[in-house]
Amino acid sequence: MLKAIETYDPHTAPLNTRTKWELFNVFAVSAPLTQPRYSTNFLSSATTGSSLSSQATGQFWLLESHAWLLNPKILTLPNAWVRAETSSSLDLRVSTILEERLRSMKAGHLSMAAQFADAILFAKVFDDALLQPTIWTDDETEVVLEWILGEKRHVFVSFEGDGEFGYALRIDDRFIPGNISGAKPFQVPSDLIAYLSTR
Amino acid sequence: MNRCGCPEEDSQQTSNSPGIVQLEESIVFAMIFPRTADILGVACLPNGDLKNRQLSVCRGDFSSYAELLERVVQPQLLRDPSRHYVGYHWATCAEIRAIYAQLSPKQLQRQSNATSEVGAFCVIDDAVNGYDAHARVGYSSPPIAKFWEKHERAAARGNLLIVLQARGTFKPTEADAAPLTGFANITSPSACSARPNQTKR
Repeated sequence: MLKAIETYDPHTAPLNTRTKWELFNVFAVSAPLTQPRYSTNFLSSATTGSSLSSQATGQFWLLESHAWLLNPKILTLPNAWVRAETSSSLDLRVSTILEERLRSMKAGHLSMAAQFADAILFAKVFDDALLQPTIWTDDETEVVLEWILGEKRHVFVSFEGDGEFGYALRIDDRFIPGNISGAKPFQVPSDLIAYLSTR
Repeated sequence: MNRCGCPEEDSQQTSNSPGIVQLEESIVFAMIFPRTADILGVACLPNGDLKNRQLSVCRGDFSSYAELLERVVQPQLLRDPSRHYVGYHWATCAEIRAIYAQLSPKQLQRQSNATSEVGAFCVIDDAVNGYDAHARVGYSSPPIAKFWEKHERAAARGNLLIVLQARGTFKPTEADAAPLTGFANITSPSACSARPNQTKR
C-alpha cells in the first residue's frame, strides 16, 4: 500500500534540497515503532497525497522539515531519510488529541516554531489514553505540557526547541528530575508513562 | 549547603538597594500567568527568566502592595498583555535558598562529594528605576562543567513552586499602601491569612 521510493543522507544533502522535502521527511529510529497509528499520524500531515511508509520496515518516524532544520541536534541520531509515495487515500488519518491541540496553538505563536515542533513530535508518540495535559508557552523560550493531578501529583515537560526536553515529577513534597537523561521528543519516558498511568 | 553558584549574594549589587538580601527577609512573588496555563502550575516561573536570573521578586520589608502592583506587576502585564495576574505568594529568603539541586548519579560521579548539595537558586538585590525593594531570583551557576541538566532544572523549578505555594495565594482587595512587612515573623498559614484585606485561596 505504501512504498518508499527514494533515500538520501541529510548530512550531505544541500539545504535547498532538504526544504523540498517538507512534510515528507522521516528518519529511522533505532527502536522499531510497531503501533500502526504512528504511520497513520504521519499521513495526516501530508497535503498532496504523497506520504511514506512506516509499515514497510516498522522503523520510520516523521520529522517535519522545519523541526529538522531548526533542531540540528536531532541530526546526530543515526537516521536514514526516505521519500515515499502512497496509493492509499488520506482516510487513514488518526489524529491525536494532543497533537491537534498543539497544532492549533502553534498558529498564534510563530516565533516558537522549534519548541512547538518538538512538542508535536512528542505528541505523536503520546498515548491518547493517558491523561491530557495543560499546554502553555511563555512565548519566549519554551512550550510546556503540564499535568496537575492532585495536591501532590504534578508533572511537567518543557520543550525548549533544541531537540531534547526536560521533565520533573512531584513525589509527595518534592519534585524529582526525570529518569531519562537527554530525553528526545520522539519517545515518552517510561517513568512519565508510569506516573501518568497511576491513578 | 554550598552557595558557590551565587557569588552575587555576597555583596550589594545595586547602590540604591537596602543591601544584600538577608535570610530572614520575606520574598514576595507576584504570580503572572499565560492565559492557557493552570494557575497552580509552574507557568508563573518562566524558565528563561530563571536561567538569566531575572525573575522579579519584591522584598516585603521594603515595599507596599501598591508598589508591588505598580513596579512589578504592571510592567510585566504591559510587556505581555496576554498574561494575567492572580495574586502573590511569599516565602522567606532562607526557604528559597534552602532548595538544592538534585543531581543525577552521573553528575555526582563527575563532581566531588563537596558539591553534592548545591543551592539551586540565588536571591539577589536589584534596586531598579527607583524601586529599591526589587530583587531577582534565578538558577545558581556553580563553576562546575555541565552542572545543570534539563531535568534537574525542572525539578528545582518545581520545588521553588512548592516553597512559594506553601502559605497559599494572597490577593488583597485594595492596593494597600502599607508596607508588606512582618511576613517572616509569621510562621503558620492561618496566621498569614489573617492579615487584613487579604484573601487566601
